[in-house]
Amino acid sequence: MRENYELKILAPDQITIKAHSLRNKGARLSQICSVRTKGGYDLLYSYVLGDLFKNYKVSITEDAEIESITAIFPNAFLYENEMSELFGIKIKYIALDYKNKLYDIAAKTPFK
Amino acid sequence: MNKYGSFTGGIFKSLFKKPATYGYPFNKREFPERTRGHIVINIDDCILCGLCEKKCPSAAIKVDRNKGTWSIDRMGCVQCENCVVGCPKKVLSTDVNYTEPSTTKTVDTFTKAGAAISEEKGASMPNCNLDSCVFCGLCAKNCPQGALSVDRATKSWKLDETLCVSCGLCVEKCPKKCLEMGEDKTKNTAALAPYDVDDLPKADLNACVYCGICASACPQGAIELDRDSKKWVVNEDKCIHCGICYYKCPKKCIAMVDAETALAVAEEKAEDTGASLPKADLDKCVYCTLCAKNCPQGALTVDRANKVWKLDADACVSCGLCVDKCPKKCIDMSASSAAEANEPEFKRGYDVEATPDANLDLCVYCGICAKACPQDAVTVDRENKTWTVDEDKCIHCAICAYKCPKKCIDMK
Amino acid sequence: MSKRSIVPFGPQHPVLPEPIHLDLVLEDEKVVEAIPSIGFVHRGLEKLVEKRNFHDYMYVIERICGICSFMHGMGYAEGIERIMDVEIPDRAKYLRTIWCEMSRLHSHLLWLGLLADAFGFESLFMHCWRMRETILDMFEASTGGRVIFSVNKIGGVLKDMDSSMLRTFVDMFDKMEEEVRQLTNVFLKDYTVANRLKGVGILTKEDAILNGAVGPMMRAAGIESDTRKLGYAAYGDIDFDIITGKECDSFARCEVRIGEIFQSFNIIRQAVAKIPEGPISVDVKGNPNGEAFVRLEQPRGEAVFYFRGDGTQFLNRARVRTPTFANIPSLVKILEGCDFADVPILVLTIDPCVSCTER
Repeated sequence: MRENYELKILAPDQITIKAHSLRNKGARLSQICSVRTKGGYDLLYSYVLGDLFKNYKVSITEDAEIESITAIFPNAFLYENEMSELFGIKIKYIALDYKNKLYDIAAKTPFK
Repeated sequence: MNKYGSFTGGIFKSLFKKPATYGYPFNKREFPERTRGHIVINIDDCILCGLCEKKCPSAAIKVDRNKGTWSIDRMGCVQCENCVVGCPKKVLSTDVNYTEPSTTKTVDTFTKAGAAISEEKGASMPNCNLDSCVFCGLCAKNCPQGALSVDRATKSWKLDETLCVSCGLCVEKCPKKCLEMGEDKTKNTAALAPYDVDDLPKADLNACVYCGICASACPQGAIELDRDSKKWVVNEDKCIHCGICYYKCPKKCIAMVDAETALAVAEEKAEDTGASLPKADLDKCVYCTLCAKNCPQGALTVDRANKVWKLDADACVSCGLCVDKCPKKCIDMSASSAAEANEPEFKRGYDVEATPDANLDLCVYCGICAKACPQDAVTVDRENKTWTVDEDKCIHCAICAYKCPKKCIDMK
Repeated sequence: MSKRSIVPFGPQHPVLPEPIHLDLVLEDEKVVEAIPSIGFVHRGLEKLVEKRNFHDYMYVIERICGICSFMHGMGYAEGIERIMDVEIPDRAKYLRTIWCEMSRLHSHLLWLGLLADAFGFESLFMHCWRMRETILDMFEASTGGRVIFSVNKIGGVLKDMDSSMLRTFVDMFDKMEEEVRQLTNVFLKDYTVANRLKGVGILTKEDAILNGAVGPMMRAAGIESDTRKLGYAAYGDIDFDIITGKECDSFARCEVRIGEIFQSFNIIRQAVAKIPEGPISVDVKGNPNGEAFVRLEQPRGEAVFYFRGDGTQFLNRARVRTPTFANIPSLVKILEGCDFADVPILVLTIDPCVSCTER
């Protein structure tokens, strides 16, 4: 049996608003990841609310800047640092910003 | 169990037990059968195809065809068994003993006896029967060495003999089974280029029956053909020189020739002899309808139930495709008129209501008749030596009698 | 207010060979803040997906972790099967379930040993690891590898376990269960263990959700959630309860993991009883085109896999969110306000696997 999860499209300015409403419902941030697409990135935010696995896809352009959700979900800091370091995605207001020192890598933004 | 000394019992027990460890290197461990220790190769049977090199996730295997060597970086190998699973010749296997420890990175090289390579190289290479080839390119896709190139547009199938490792994978993958491993390399080169790339088709109008198969097969609609006015013209601008018409022509009257010859004014077709129409030998006919199905003009009607084979002589273009397609080879182009073709003398060798009867003295109970019966009316039991026919099911088609290798079945 | 000082902790550790670095801000002996740093063993395995044929990537993704290597391979296989809409044979599902639970068993026994070592109970550590060795031997007999199994394939599994092998395994597990119970009684009853673990490192239910804790970490905080209940592989046919703790402290995490050891024995027995006959793999043709999420319950907690293919033989993206990655924020949370001497044990209670985390 395969899990039925939902995957919805979200506008970039809705990220924090959605995170707020999910936190109020008692959801847990499961993961954030990004995928390089042509001319931009897809960001995938996954939340777990009870038995539900909710995923939100946010498509941004290469030089877009998004807002951090560390103020809402404190555990987002690792995911967001990873994205900005490996992909070069610009994220502002990260609570604990490693300034590209999270991983010890030779190349700059290898996934870009 | 109490708060204190809960582990005392366990400690005392293990004081008197055999140790859980063993004295390596004096006592060697016995490995289970499936342990992946290191890769071994039976180099004599290896064809150096290089598939293992491609499959190796850690790039530990190197295959050098020119030197005839197969080498493995023992420290790089991760014992994933991917090469063992992927080897087309099954010469690789895993040994249970681990790789020997070493202070340097060891590369083990196995050399295949040099003479054997050059000998074998000439020995067996794939040949393509271009008549049945559909240029699907599967062989080229599966070739581990990239020795094959198939171009659908130009209908070319080429083998780079210097690269071919005779692994036979292409033969296995061919969906049309038109490839075979053979020594005769001339065969495919001869068949390979029956015409030049820019040759145009030209029909020999003496042989042409204007069946229209070439025109409908042409992907470009470059052939213009009219049966009534006996016209067959190829449009030079549209033609892509694919040669499909050449392959499809049932009369083999199309030749691929250079443009000048092709466009030379077509000679008038000699007077129609009106000679040949197909005629079926109804003694042999099993009314399989294959001839009707393949008739480009729909000139044939075959009714299995009523045992009717009928030719519409006006529609027939005398292409002879029905003769080629007949599995019983009971059709020939011997009739000269519609009446002759449909001659009503049904000289059937047996009565329409006759049922098969096997001469059990001759019968070897091979079961071919039972398999051939379209109605499953014949039952053959080899063990008990019985041969029965269900008369209710039998449609009197006599296929069993024709199929019998011992000719022991009579229609009675 | 007393003076603050910063103590660097790791990546070379007093307890575990996991290269995690913590900057501990101390006030006297109390930790007030901890800043984690990872990144010492980042290998770029996710990036490799763009260079490897998607069938061969199986051997790469297995090497993310040396303990749950089977589950990483399985997560990848399930993800690609989901994209390509391949239904694997039932027998393969059960075999995967059995190997999964064996992985969980040996992972939890390893963790119990490390915990015993961390609070200085050396002989208990050795007994735990002796037990784990038996399971590694079983892995070797059934798959051919002790650490990296290379037994998963897209469309099923590569090796079968025949009924005599399964019966031998169940007999061995029956015998082992008795021994493990004696061993775990020491953890649960002994006062030295209780003194080190009880009331230490409390992670409340609210904090667990907010910090995204997963696995035994989360269940010890009283949250009833186990990805196995989603019914992937053969878990849908197997009857088991989610084990949760009440006290939210280190001892509760230990209890939950011990409970899961016996649960694993039980699941293996059920799976062996129910395993159907049949083929173990199906052929997979074509290339993956699409995207899929897969969630698995690894010994350390929920792992999230994400794969995206574009119809070529190379995937666009493979993403593995390992449980330790999700548990690091919770670790930071439980370190705040603890004693400096408890830091090693607390790092251990999240069951860290840093090479997993960095991939």
